[in-house]
Amino acid sequence: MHIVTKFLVILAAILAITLSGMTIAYTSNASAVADALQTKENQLSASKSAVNELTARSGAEKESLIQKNSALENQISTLQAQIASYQTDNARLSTEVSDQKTASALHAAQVDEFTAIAQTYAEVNKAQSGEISDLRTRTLDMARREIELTDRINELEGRLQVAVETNRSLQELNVELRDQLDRGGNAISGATANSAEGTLRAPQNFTSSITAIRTDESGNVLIQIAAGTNDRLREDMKLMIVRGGWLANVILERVDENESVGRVNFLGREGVDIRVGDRVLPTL
Amino acid sequence: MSQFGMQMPGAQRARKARMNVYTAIMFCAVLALLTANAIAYLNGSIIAPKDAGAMGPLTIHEKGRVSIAN
Repeated sequence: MHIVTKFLVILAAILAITLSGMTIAYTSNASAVADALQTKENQLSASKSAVNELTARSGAEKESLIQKNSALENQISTLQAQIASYQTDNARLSTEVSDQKTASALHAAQVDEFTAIAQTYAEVNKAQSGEISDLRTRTLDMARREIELTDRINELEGRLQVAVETNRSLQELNVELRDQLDRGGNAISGATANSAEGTLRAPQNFTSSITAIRTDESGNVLIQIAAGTNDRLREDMKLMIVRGGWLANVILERVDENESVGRVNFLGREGVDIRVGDRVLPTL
Repeated sequence: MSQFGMQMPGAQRARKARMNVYTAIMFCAVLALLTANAIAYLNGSIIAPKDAGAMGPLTIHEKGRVSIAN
């Protein structure tokens, strides 16, 4: 065998061994790379799914955020309008505050002035208080004297009233006596007896008022009072009609339980006005 | 003595070896193996483990840890 042939055989063997090793390594690495590729593809697919899901979710969130953004923009515009309004109000209030400060300073000056005036008035009041105290003392003295004088006047008026009533009674008696004198001496004695026997004295402290007034056929005035036998009234009792003073006498002619009718005796006077509600008393 | 290259008297004349058809076939086979080795080396270098150097085409990836150069 030629030396070249031998050399080629040896070289071919070496190359074959080398090629075998590289082929084994290549196929093994290719398998590992294929597995890794498959794993990566699976991960890629899962990642794509996740990405799609996240994309959808982010789209929804984006839509929601857009809506929120729109609402917030509206709120921002509203708030900006409010801010502008508040700024306007702030400027106006600042102006008012400035005015108020000026007015406050003016008022402080006025307060000082008023304080001085008040002190002056206080001093004046203090002086006037002394005078008022003196005047009050004098007034009390005068009031006391006035009360004493009033009591004195009332006492004198009471005496005068008693004197007037006494005078009026005397006038009545005078008129009755004059009437009796006109009818004659015998009549006077009969009338006196009649007056003494036929006219009864009414109970003390009795009081009533006229409830009705009428006139009979002969022109005599009859009155009705709201009192009767329950008030111990009897026929032929003599009462007096009073309104501020004596007006006339009345002789009871009919007495029921709670009402009575009497004839009015004006004792010769004319123009005397008897009214419903006038008081009826036993004596003056 | 012929083992030492000596020509003994009366011995058959030694014939010199010549290249023949097998030499040509082996030459072609060697060329083919060289080409195959070159291609396998280049492609093996592509999927060889990272940082394996010149012996990358003959190196196998660790199980579960594939890291190629590119």
